Amino acid sequence: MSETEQIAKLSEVSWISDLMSERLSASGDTTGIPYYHFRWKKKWLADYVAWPKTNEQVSSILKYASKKKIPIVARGGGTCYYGSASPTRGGIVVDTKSMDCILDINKDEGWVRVGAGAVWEILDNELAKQGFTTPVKPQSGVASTLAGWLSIGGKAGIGTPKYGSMVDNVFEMEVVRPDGTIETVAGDEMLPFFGTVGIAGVVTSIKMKIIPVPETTEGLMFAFQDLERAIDAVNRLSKTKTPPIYLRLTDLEYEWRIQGGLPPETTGLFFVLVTYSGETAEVEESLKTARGIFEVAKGMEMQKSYYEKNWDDRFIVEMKLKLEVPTLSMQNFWIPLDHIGPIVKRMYKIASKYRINSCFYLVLGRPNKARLCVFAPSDHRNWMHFMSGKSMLHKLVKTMYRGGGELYTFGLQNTVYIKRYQKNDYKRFKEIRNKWDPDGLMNPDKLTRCNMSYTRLNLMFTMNGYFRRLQVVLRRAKNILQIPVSYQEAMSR
Amino acid sequence: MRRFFTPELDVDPDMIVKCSNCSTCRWTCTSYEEFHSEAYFAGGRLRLLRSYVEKKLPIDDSFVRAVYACSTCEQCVERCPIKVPYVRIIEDVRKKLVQEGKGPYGKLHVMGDMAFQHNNVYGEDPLKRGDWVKPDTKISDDSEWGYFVGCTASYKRPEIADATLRMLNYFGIEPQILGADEYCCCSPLIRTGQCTRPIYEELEDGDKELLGNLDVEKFILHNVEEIEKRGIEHLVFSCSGCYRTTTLDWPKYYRERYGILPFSLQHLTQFLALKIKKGELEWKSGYPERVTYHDPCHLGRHVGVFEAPREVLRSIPDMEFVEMERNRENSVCCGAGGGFKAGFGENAVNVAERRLNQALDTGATTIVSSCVFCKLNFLDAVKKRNVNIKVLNIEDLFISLMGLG
Repeated sequence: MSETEQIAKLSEVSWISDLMSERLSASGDTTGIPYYHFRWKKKWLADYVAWPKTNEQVSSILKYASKKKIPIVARGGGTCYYGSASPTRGGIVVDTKSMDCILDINKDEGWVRVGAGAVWEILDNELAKQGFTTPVKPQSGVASTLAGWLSIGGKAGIGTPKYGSMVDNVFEMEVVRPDGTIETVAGDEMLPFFGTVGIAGVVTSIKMKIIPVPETTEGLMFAFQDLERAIDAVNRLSKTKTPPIYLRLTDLEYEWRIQGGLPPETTGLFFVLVTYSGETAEVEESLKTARGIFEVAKGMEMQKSYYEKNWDDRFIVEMKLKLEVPTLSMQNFWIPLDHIGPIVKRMYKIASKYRINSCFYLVLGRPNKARLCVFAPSDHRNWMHFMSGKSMLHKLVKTMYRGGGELYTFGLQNTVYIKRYQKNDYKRFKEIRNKWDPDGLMNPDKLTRCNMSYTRLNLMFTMNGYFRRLQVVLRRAKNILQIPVSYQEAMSR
Repeated sequence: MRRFFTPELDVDPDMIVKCSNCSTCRWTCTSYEEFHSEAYFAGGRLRLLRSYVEKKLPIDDSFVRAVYACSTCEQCVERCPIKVPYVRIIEDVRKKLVQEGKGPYGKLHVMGDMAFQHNNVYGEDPLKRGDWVKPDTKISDDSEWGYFVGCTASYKRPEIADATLRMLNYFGIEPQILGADEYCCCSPLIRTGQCTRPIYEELEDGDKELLGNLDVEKFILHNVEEIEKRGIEHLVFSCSGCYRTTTLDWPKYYRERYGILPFSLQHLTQFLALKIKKGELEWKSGYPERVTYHDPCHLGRHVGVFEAPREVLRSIPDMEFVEMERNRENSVCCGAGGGFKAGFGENAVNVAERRLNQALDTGATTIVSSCVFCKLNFLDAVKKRNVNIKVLNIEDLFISLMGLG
């Protein structure tokens, strides 16, 4: 069939498949297996997978789906932890990764027009050949796509403290509306596509800002004994005249799990990594300022090689946690820096009470606002341990909302929280859905509707917490994962 | 450890749950680049595998195809943040599929049938295995040096075997070759999961008659015994697949019962690099062209031989040596390994064509490799897609520059 021809029958289209292997592999994401969180989904398995190469093909499939009332799930790299790209009512998964070409580049005006399915790392490699780079990119840039990061908001990543979030770096986008209309959107018209997991339509190409490859990229890493001092350093660093391109705060268990231990003669429980890029003189000046801030906060400078190891791993730090952890539960918060301390402290308190593992890392998104990732490393085959981790994350979400802040990624599982706590956002998502997708076909059950009730969820986790406490009291709560010794000592103080 | 038991697949869950589905391995995957499907890269296959196992889904053709559409090039393991031993997993799954009678994919079973009947995967006459030896080259039957030729060089690319022998002769080595007593090294069989498999003959009335059981252990044992019997102490390889299998797979089958292999192993590039280091090689002429080197997956990522071939090439006078953008650990697969070429011929040529284009991007006029399969696949791509580049192996260069050809 030609590109503009209407689809009469899905099975007749060469770029659409209904093979079981294709449907299964395209129905899951980083959450793991596609049927994970099956209670949240009516039908976890896609009926078809489509690989369109042009926006006309996307349009034809959306028109078909709209006519036949078939759900559509737009899919990028499938790297979201919250089921954003997992079907909940079957339907067609539209894999956008075949639309990945650089369509146009203007070095004088500093922009590139590229297929929305391009992987960040590949795009960056291609741009680097011409002496350019993207100002911002996600930490999952080795696998995630442009439209994928866009659809979860693109607020905190590498470059965001200096250049703003992804929306600030996109000039215009070509999109296909749920009814199949192809449009070019710019300015405020783009907003319904950011952070809305594809409910407003499928983004097919993006015109975004590019910058020359910076002259120098350098940084520092300091260790702290005290959380308050570490947060204070992060706070000050986020407000410097020249913002860093990457600012990260981690704890010992996190460092220990991703790097297999600290360098010799290094002590500390919290670690701050800061990286600057730009002209050499400017970077040197920023490093001097940063070192001063660290020293005032009584941090201990870490070996350069250890900083470099961490900087090199910037795109895989989250994944590296899996080195010794079979199942990784996590929650992402988008919160002011002042609210980090109470959440982290509560995390340690609950983890200690439940005898489970916990760790966190924080990435600065923009001055005074950061993405805080809290992890509950576990093994899902040890049910109580695993569920206690989930229970801890649930309690932390409630703590976070009480202190001010919001969830960073919404997807499937977090819709239940948006509905309860982020009423304005929920209302906005509903408006977008009603305006562009009144039939609710685009990525159903995400953002505007939830199959799980908050009461049930809350009850489940609360009960689980009680049972775990009981296990601890009866000395039957086994911690299945190793924790670094010095960490345990510090925790017990 | 509790295992997932299903009537059809039995996979160690610890292996599968290690994968975080982060998809970091996706864009460097040889088969993803070709098929652009989530079922056709390491992480996607593991997701698929876990789903089939846990949901007890019946194994269908699409699953078998996805499992076999992998060249086992190990780029995924190299990229993986936590180094999930993906190739080991996929080879185990293939083994299980073969045991269950669901594999191997397509016509790959012919390799097993032929190996069982003729001791080589091409079904050629085993007695003619040593026919490539030319009268002006020297072999002996009492040298401590041996040359393991392999099925492909013996039957399909005899010029490689001849060049390697001439190279050894040049250094005064008259190696022993096993001839008809050399059996397949089992690389294609192990890679495609055909480690043990009943072999049937189809009768005229449609029935099948059991001929016997293919068992790679028997092949390996036979080869080791033959080499040992002849007093060979140093075994040289021109085929990277044979070298990888002998280095990594033979010990698995042999060591547990019989101890360590009673001879040393060397790839010819290592042999040459050593000669250069010792100052025993003086090139007779130069190669005034721009040359790039393609790392065979089996020699590079699998065994870790990256520098020896480069040392050889850099020592050649007048040669301008350039690296491709992706080299050494990050090298791209040529598409010939892991049964990919045998099962997905046209796709394998597409993969080779892409790699040749990467070589052309460097401005190179010659691409050199050190693997029989890479050369075979590259030559196919040159022929079928008219890619304008010379394809050579290191031994080809050696005999041409030393005036031995």
